Amino acid sequence: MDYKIDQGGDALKVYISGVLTFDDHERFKSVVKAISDSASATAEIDLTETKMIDSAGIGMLLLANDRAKKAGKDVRLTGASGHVLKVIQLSKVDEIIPVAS
Amino acid sequence: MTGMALNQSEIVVAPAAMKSPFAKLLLAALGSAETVLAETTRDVEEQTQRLSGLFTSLTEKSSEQTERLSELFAQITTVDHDGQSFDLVTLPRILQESLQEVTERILVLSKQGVGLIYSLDEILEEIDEVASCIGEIEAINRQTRLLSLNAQIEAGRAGAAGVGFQVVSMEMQSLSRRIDALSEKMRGSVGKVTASIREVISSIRSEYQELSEIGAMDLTNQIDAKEQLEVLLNALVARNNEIQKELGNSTDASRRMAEEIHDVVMAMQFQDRMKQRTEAVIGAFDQIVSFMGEHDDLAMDQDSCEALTTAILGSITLSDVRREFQRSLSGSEAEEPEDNDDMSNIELF
Repeated sequence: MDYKIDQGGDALKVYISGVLTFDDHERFKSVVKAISDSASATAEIDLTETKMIDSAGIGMLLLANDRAKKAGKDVRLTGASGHVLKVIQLSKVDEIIPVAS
Repeated sequence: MTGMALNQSEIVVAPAAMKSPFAKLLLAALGSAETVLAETTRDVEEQTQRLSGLFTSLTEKSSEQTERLSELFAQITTVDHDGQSFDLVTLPRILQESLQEVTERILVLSKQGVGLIYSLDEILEEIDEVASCIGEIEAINRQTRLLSLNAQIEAGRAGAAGVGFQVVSMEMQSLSRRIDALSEKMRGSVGKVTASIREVISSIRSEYQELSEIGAMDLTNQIDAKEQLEVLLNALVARNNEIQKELGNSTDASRRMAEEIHDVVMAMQFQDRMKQRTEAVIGAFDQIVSFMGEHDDLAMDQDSCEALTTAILGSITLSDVRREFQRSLSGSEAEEPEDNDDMSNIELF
């Protein structure tokens, strides 16, 4: 997994590319921290370039959402398609974290 | 069908009167005609009743068939297990729910696993901090020991005046040794805690590895299963609807058949009408035969014939038959005293 953080607009934007699996948990920790520490009230995780996600990846997104909520922030997911979107729908993550197309 | 019983066979020709050969021939022919007509009427009545029975039984069998089809359909769309009946259409739905539940559990475990690793990482960072504090304590302690050694040397140089100071520096050295022992103990504990935490992290990692190996992690199996279940569910619902439709068609066909058979049975009431007409004709014949039996050929004058005409017409209750006889016998249209031609008077099957 690679990620890029853009603090330019109103919302913090995190672009995640490649695959998001358990092996990425250490790197993802920086994303969780960036969201919690951000000055923006909203964080948008862009999954347009995410090719594949496993249950640990979904777990990490949920964890990021939990920690953001604790810090009084909202998270939303954007750009998911193909396998990633199917996993999001199957796991009903879209009922917990808002998903925008 | 309990219409008036035919009694042509009981007709007795009075033998007393004198008969010409033609009159005898006419009497015999009329007698035979009556017999044949009566037998034909009986035959038609019997066969009509039989046909009516067959048609009614056909309707009943058709209804039974539809009912059996419905029962069969109910049987093939359910599965019995452990005394419980499961609808085949709901079965994939139950499986979908189970799949959903399993998926949710995997997600909860994944989230908790990653969360636990994050928390343990944070603890490890704190422990590193503790370890570096211990290192600092040890460095301070080394410096303290060096200072106490210098103090001892200086106290020795001072001679008697430095005796007290020598005691203090000795105590400092003893304290420093205890601090060393304590920091070593702490370093040992920190090492053990760090090792345990790393072990937990490593075991979580290997659990994930195993989950990945059985394909539970990437959820591909679940996605495939979900899609297949959806296809199966749709196919079952479609098949169910088709069978329902066919069953509906069959019921409709059965109902139509029953209606048509009812129409056929109604149409067969022609037999009743035929019987009444035949009885009217036989009655007329009867009058003629009686008349001829009671009168000589020569006695058949105009008055007697008019009396016979009146007797014949009087014996016929069916209006259209009477009309026909009236037209032939007296050349005029019949009066309509009592119309017995009403369909409601015909006894139905």
